[in-house]
Amino acid sequence: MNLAIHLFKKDFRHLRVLLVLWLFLVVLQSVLIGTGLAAAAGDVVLQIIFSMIGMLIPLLQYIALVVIIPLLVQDEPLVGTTAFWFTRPMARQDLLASKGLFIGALLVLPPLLAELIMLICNGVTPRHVLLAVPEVLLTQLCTVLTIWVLASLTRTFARFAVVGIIVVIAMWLVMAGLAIAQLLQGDVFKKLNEFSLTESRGVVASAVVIVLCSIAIVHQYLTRKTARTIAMACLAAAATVAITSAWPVDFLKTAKRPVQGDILKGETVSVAMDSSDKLYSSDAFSFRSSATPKKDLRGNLTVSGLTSGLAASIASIRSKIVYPDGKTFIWDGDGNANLTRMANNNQWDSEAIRHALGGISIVNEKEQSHSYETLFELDSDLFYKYGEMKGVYTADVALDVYKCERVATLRLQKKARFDSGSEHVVVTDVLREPHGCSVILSSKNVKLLFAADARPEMANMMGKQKALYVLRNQKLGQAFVPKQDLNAGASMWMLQMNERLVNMPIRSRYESDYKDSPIDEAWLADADLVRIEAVEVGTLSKSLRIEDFVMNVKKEKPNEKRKPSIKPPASS
Amino acid sequence: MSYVIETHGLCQRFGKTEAVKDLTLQVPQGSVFAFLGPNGAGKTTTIKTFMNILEPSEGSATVFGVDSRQLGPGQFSKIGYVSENQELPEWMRVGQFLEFCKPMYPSWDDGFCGKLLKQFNLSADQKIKSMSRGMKVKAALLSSLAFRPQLLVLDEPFSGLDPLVRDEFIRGVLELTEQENWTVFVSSHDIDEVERLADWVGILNQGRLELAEAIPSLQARFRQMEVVVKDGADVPKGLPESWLTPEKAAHTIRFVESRYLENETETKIAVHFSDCAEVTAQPMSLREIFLTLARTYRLSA
Repeated sequence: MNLAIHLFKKDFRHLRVLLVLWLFLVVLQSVLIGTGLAAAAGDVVLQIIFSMIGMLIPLLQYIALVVIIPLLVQDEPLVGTTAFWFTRPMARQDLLASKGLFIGALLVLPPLLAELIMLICNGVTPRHVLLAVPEVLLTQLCTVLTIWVLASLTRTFARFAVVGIIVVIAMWLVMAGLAIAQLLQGDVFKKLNEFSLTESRGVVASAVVIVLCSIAIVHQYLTRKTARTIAMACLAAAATVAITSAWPVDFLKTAKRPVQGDILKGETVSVAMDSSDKLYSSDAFSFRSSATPKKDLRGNLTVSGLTSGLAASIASIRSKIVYPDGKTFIWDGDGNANLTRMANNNQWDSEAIRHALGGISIVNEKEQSHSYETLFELDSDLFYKYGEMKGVYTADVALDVYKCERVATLRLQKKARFDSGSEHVVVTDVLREPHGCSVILSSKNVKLLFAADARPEMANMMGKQKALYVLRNQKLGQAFVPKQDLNAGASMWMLQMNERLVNMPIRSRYESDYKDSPIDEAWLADADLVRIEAVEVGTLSKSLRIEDFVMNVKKEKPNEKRKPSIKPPASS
Repeated sequence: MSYVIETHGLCQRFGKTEAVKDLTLQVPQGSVFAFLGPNGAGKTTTIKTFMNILEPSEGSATVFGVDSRQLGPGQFSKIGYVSENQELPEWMRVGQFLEFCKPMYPSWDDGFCGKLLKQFNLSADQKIKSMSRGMKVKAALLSSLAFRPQLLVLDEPFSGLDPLVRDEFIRGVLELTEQENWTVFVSSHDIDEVERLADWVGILNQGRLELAEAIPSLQARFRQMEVVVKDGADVPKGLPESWLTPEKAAHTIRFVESRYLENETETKIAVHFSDCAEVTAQPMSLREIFLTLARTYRLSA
């Protein structure tokens, strides 16, 4: 062990300049994530600049690792026959220990500590801080060990660079090949729908890379049998590719529980086609011009019988149409319909909001749009053949039931704040506008793979908000729901995809041209901001049956006020 | 007699190329063993194999009685190894390099190290990267001598050394070998220098050990023979196998007798040269013996 320390000191002296640079980058990244974006809250330009710098620093950190690790490892190279240390009284175990100590203490631990300190300083709960540890280690070890393996199989930095480039290109080609194969098979939407599965695969692949690379490194240090170590490294690469594309267990999927007990009288809840509305059909979008043309059939589904204060959103539809000639069409509801649904599910149920607000009047309720669900999709020629025919439409509709809860009231002024666990929201500005106002909020929260309550989800990527800020005037008994400027928030969110601490600006616009309840200075004087959260109640599965179902119904353009966020399909 | 290095049926293959073939060798303790051979003979490969830099393809090698595959810090702390191709940590200065080596060797002698530093005309502040090849060899030698090794393995150590340092180095090694009973295994092309240094010699040709013998014994059995014949006849056929590289120059037939015993050799000459007028037998230097053998191997190849 004394020799290991002796070697550690030698390496420290050798690489001290690069280490200072590396540690500077580590600290700078944490400071930027932890304080930079928060300090720039309300200033979009500064936020974008900080985000860009925030993206550049990880790249610089990676470059630093790619330089430091080969220099460290190749000071005592493990391949070739001319290295000085081969014939010196230097135990291989001591050499491995010294390199491991160096990499662990100076290249893995500092980023971990910096991130944990940054999370603590930003008010993240101890539980979330602890759950961040395996995630940070997984990422950092995966990177460091991969570079270490390559460095231990090459004698000089130039060779390391060449081999590294070859490996990166080879991996890219393999992954691109798999992606192309999936594209050709039309699995793109399916993959997007499997967001948590992709995350699970990433975790397993990282763990396997860590284990196999560790074994390869130990093997190379203790035996210097390079051919066998290369075989192990190839195995690790193959395993990564296989797991990334085929690992079946989605252990990061947030389990949805069925509705429990008396919260709902399940039997009374029903799903029906809105009789006041009509069916719309359109040419279905396809990624391939050569694909068989398809038709989308959409309609407005209503859920009734929910206990007061509860709302439901449609999670999935699996449907079937049976015609008198015995022809049966089945649609499993996968594909782009799910993504469209996710994009539409950022709309909140007005009745549930009103219930959470204690029955207060929502002035701009009528502006809330309806979603047109895809009820069926089939080949165009079949659509025209059976379009005028009457059939029986049946569907299994999965519902996500939620309720709205009022969790906090914020004063309508700068620096008013909401704190709950690791989440911290601050009002950074209130902007008066001709027909209302905009409230700029700075929201800070964690995004952690191993914390079920802070796990990134596809729905969030699609712009779904966990909380809604309603502008309320208690005295007048009026409230406005926001028109959220989702693009700003989503783009900032995307910029920070690699970070565990997410600083996201939220711009909530409250607009009204109602003469009887305008949002003017007098109205705002008594207004406050109510945070409403959607609390999941459970899932419910319901059947829908429509007799005499005709697909190709003549229809008129949908009412502008009821325009869904995804354009309704054109009439066929 | 105990042996510091021993190999038994040692083979080293690189793909289809057999660099060392069935090598059986013994290096006596306290000897200075010169390992000679033409370029590509397998000298460096042999050394790398018994130093555990390469693993034998077949056979075995031992150093201090330990299998070469098992050589570890315990043995390497008694072995000084210098190779012309050895890569030193170039970012270090000479002083840093010596300080780095020192804790690895319990027998490190600071005084001796300082003396060698002066003798080799090295400065502790010099950066290894900026040194010439010869200076680097000196630095490697210094770090391999300062702990007074029991075995010194030198693979082409003289390349790049100036004549003065070379001379001093040889004198120093000879002195230490005598005083401290060091064993030195030296491979070199520089036969003249090795002759001054060595008391044992091994000659390797195309991976095969052609001979391994104490130099006095070798020089005793090799003689440059000159036979003056009266009628200037050609070199007769059917000469003994031990007569190497026979050639004719005017009335003189020259050859090297590799099993020289005064009476026996004279008898054999009388049998093959009936009109022999004069016979001279001259002792040979190691260089002459090596060149004779090298020529013989090339002819036989």
